[in-house]
Amino acid sequence: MLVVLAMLAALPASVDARRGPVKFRLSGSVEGLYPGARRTMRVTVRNPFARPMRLLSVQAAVGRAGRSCSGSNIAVRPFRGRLRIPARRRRVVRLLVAMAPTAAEECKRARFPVRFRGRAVLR
Amino acid sequence: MWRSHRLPKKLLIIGAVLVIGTAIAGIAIGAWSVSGSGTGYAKASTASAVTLSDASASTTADLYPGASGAVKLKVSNPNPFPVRITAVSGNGAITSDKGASCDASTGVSFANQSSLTLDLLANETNKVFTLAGAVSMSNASDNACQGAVFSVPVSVTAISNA
Repeated sequence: MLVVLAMLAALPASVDARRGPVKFRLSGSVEGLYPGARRTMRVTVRNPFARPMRLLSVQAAVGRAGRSCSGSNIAVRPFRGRLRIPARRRRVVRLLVAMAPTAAEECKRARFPVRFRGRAVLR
Repeated sequence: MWRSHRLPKKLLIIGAVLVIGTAIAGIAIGAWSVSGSGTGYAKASTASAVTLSDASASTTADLYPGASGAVKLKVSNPNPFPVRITAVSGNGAITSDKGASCDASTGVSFANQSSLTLDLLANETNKVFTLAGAVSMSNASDNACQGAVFSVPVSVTAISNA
């Protein structure tokens, strides 16, 4: 009986192991920022797996928008929680974005690249 | 009777421990950690210039040679966010409504203003600020300037006040 239980526990692992290290995808954007502005960025998280996924965190790293406009002008509050995403479905998380009141003149109409990183567990 | 039951009880406890341990191991394996990545952008808007309603400031007090007075500043903020005017500077020749003879020698000068905290709401129009003591008249003022209203071209520096 114990042998059977151990095999059942290992089964989900062996199923996903065949697919290799698939990552889930995140995408999002926000516009209309100005010095001192606070906006909500909608980030779409896609679950490519055949099993439900529980999203634990999303972080955003903001890059430089120009020679005189660094990414430090934009702050993005990360997501921390437990958001369930059904298999092969997508969900939206909202991240608070703030532009520094001291943002340089060169940041007008600037487009800051953002890289998202997320962590989740498959259930 | 009792002796015959001791051995199976021990086995049951050991078995239960093994089952629980296996179940915990199963949970740990079942909840696989995965990571995700992606890209996006954050875009800043442009800012529109704060506008002066009549493209100039005007004197409000009765000026006479040797006196100083206030300047009335009527401004609008076309931006969707509040702004703060921090400086007002003279931006050209001061003129009057008395014609060329007065304009040739108004004797009126504008003192640049800095470290101001004149706040405008988002999309606020025609707000009037009074800059006390910002203009003065010297003895160089022509006689034709008596009773004149002076226009003072200025430029305004404002920052986001969100």
